Amino acid sequence: MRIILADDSLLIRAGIREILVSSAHDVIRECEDADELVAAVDDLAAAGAAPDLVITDVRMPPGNTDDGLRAAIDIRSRHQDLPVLILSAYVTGPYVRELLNGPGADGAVGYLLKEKVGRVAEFLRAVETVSGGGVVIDPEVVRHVTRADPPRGPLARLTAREQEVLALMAEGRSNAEIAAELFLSGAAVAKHVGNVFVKLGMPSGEDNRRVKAILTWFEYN
Amino acid sequence: MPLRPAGRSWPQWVAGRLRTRSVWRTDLPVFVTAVLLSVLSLLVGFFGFVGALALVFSPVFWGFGIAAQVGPFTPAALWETLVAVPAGIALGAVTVGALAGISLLRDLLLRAFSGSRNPDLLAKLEELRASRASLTAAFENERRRIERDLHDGAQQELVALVMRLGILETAATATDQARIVQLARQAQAQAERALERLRETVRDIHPSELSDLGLIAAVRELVARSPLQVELTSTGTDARLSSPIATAVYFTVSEALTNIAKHAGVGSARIEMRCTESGVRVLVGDDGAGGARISTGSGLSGLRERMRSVGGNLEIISPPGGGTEVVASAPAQPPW
Repeated sequence: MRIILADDSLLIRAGIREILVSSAHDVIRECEDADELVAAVDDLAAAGAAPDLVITDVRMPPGNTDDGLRAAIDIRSRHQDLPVLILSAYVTGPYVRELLNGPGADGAVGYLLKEKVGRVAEFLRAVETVSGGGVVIDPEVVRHVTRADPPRGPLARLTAREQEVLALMAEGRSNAEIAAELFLSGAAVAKHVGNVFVKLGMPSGEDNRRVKAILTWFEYN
Repeated sequence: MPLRPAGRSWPQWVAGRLRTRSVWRTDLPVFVTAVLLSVLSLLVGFFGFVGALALVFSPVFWGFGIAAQVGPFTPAALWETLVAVPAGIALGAVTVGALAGISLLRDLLLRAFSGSRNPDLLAKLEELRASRASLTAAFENERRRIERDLHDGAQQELVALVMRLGILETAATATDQARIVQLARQAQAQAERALERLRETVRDIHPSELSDLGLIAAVRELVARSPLQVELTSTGTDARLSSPIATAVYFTVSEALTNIAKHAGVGSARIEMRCTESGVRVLVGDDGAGGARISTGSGLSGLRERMRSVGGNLEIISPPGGGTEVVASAPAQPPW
């Protein structure tokens, strides 16, 4: 996979690059700030060599606030299908909402805490999921935005178990993993997932139901 | 403001006051003037109006066989009492005029005594205000600097360490060294816990959403983190609010929610936030125990100081048993 990597810290870039390269990915460009990232993506896309994935930090020069997130949203407004994985130092709802509500294809986005790169196997799977059009949200962020108060909107139609399953889907888990986590059979999980789709108004045959369900979950949490 | 600061006895306080120059220059002359002139207007009013009434009604008294004496004047015939009526009206008018004159004089004197050094005082007040504002700003900048230092320094190093340990674990897995894999995982978990702690500390110092996404988003995030069930309503946009205002309001809301969780004995709260072009007003309310008071050194008085330092204010309505409402308001820009 051809990947663009943006982070203002050389130390962090070196760590991420080493992990990606060890898994036979190519880091085709490294950027130190948000402007450089946007320019690099535009250049490559113009040359017909768009990357398969953009990995970017949130807080970066030039503004040193949420420039990386702004760059990601900007990139997705012009390169709709380009997968973007955000690596952040913050466990916070608003950034993720900005990203998910932003332009671009539904899905092909991820938001992970930066240190999760150290869980090498999980990180590499997240890279695959996002570049394949899926959504991966860091479990800590999912836990954080899951509210204690009663669910709203279409989520109110879900049972407690279905909510639990949907939250795990938001973390980018497969049905088999959800089954293992909740001590359920694969068939039971498949049934819950099916119920989630039906209750959220996603008929079978519709594309990308998993991603859409996750986006709905985020919107109403 | 309390007349006598807590921790000082009455004799100490009086002695201290007597040594203060402004007591002799301002307080005492103001007091003496006020007392003397008030007594004067009481006397003038009393005798003037009593005399006027006696003159006006002297024909009536004459009818009852009484010759009403007013000062040197004692009527000797009916026609004299009739002349006394307009004289009484005139005396009444003169008395009113005299009272107005005395009150004007009192105002002038009081203003002269207390206002003579006002330009001086006003300049000092302005200076104090400016220095409070710059202290608050310096404090705020310092918080941001610490937050940035932690983010760019310790946090980055720890993240890099976690990644290194991940690489170590992968290498050990590839060469099938179970013991090293296990140790690497433990070390990684520990480093992650350290990061989590650090992240919480950084948040408390200065939340990133506040500078990145504004007050409303930051308060929404506060609500999401609160153990309370909070009903948040918000109108308007926060685009016009300056950073010191947004920060002061944010920490006020944060502290108010913490207070509710600690003292109110309830599990829910409400926040009503209104942002306009000219400023912001936030109400944080609960239906709990009430009885909260702003006393010196309490968290609430600190919050009020903070709001005032940016030109805002904080009010508390908290009858015992009747819940508590904390209302913070501030202009969009500090007025200095």
